[in-house]
Amino acid sequence: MAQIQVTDERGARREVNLIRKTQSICPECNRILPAFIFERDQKVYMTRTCPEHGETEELYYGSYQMYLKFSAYWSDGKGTEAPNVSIENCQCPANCGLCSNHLSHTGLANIIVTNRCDLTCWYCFFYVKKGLEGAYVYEPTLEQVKMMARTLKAERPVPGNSVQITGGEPTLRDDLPEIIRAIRSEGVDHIQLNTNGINIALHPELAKAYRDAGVSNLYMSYDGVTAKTNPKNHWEAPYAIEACRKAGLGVVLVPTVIKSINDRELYDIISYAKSNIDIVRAVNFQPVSLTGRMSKKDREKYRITIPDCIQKIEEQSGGEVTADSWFPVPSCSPITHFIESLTHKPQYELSIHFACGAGTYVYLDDRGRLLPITKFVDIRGMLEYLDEASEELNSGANKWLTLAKAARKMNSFVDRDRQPDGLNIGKLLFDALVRHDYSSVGQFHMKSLFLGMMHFQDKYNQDEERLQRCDIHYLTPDLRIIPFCSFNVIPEWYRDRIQKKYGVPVDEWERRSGEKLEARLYRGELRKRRVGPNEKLDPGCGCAVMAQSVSNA
Amino acid sequence: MSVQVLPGIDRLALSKSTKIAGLRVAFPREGVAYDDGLWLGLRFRVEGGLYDVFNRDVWQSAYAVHDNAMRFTYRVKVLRSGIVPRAVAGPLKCVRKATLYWTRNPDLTDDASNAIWAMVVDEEKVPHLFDSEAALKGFLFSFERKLLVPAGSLRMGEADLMVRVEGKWGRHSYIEKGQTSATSEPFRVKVS
Repeated sequence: MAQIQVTDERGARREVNLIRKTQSICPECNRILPAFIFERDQKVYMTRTCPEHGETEELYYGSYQMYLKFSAYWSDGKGTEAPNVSIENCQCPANCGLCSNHLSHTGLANIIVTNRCDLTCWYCFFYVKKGLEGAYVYEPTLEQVKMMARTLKAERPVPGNSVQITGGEPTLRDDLPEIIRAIRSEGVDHIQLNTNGINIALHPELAKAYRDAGVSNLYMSYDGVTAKTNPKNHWEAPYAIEACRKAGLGVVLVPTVIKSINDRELYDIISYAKSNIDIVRAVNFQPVSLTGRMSKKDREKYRITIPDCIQKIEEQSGGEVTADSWFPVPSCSPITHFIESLTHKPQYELSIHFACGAGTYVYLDDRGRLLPITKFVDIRGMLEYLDEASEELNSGANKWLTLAKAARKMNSFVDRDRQPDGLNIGKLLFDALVRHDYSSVGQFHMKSLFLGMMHFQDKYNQDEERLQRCDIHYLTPDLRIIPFCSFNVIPEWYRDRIQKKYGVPVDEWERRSGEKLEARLYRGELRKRRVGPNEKLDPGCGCAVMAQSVSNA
Repeated sequence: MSVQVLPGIDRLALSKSTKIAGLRVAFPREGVAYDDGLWLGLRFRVEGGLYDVFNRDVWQSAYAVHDNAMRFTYRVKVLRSGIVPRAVAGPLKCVRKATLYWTRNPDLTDDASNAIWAMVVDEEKVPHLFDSEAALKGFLFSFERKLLVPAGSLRMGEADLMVRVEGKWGRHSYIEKGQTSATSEPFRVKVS
């Protein structure tokens, strides 16, 4: 392996093993710089040197072995044929829109419906702060939302079909059901609502209203199982989950993981999801993105990566969810390619960079333990088989013979002795892959959880190879589609500039709405609630949990 | 999806001219005990059309039509020589893969027209990166493997063996599907 020299913590120059070269940006001035990804002490780091601001080194991936294993699944996607930025004007990442060099279609499109929030978390840069010079409220109109959704559907060869409504706190918009219906009316099939859940906890009828309007699931912040690790919505989340249970609205729990803050509770969060498995569909861990200026010492204190989280889950679960159960997101590519080879039509693909995300499924067995799917399905063998089958189809093999072989073969990847009772994974795979019938997937989800990892970048670990493959995008009122890791990582070029252009000053918003910005701030009403003497509560519901905690305090 | 054809390339001729070359087998000249395993060292190369056409210029064109992966599958059998050679070990199925990707390495590319590079994933699913086309192709198309033949599958005494390698690849925008094979010179192993 080639070697390069980097500066160590004592300021001395040291040789390390170079893995690859890429491009990054200077965290101070955004200058695009050559960057080196290297291995040291079995971890992966990135370094680059700005002629003006010096060297920046950052932890890139917490395990060199996992980096190698996951990078073998690298698979570039088709991108989009209708970019808003032509190739002549491509200056990645300075002119996103999408450009003709972008390599992933939109997998999930974010629509920000407000930058108002009912919380004022000290670390957050998203919400409007009254009193700051130039503060504005950004809330696109219904017509603008429709046009954004239409832009998404106009993507080719694969029209976007999944939207996340986000903010600020989107439930502060009283017209949110209309917004949801407007997006649905443009042909979007999957809508998830990113929320802290507080408004739904306060007004449980909202869960049904959003479900009826067309929301598929909630994407709810949930940073820990104690009030200390989750001051945001520790008390309110059980209420919100109960409301969703009654409305039949699925929930995905979303912990932002910060080393030394909540990284000791990863399996506790999974256990909480397990105890609500009838309504919680997934836990999607998001290792923290470190926005703003931060010293290297602080970054080392808080920085955590996907392999670190995966390792901690294995340790905290006592080996129940092992590190080898996880696969990088682009490992799904053989499934996409197989279906494309069968149908001769471009399909939805997850072609993001292998370092951006990972996932696994766990199934709740009869003993109440979580069984990773890899314990009874040979996922690796199945993906390899689908790769081979795609090649045979592309080489002219008979489609029906190949399908018949695939139907017989699917069961061979399942260990029936270890497969949980009542589950027929072989049939589920056959139905999904061969017949494109996904009805049994819902049944699988009743006793399973998807565990995911999604690590959004920041200026310290920005890798343009990752940005070019990002498939989580933002739709904007100027009808551009901008990748997450340029929209939020370089907000002065994208998020703040666009929102300010389409926003109104706070005092003008207050005049128009007849409402003060701070009127909707959450002041802990649920935390002050006391249970009435004759009030009967279901044992598992949030109110009972709250009441018990209060009486114990 | 359907394979698009790159213009100006005789894909069939390239496929037909692809061959396995330089097949060599290393074996223990002092013999092997009946209870032990027989370790053989196998070496061969792929030459001809597939080797020639898989170059940087073609990577750019293939990537543009989403033809991003090239799998070379080979099967290895150890045969006992005879009127009808019989397999005593194998077939061992192996896959080596080249994945095309858009690189942001400033040493490899200076603009979008030559941004496509390749990564090799070997039979053990370990990825390999190279900073020259020659080094990449040298690794991708050169094979060295150790094979284990249980000595118990051989009879006591002398065994005349051969190794047969059968390789195949799929249809791509730059080459038609094809297969090739080679058999080593017979060699004699003493089993005691």
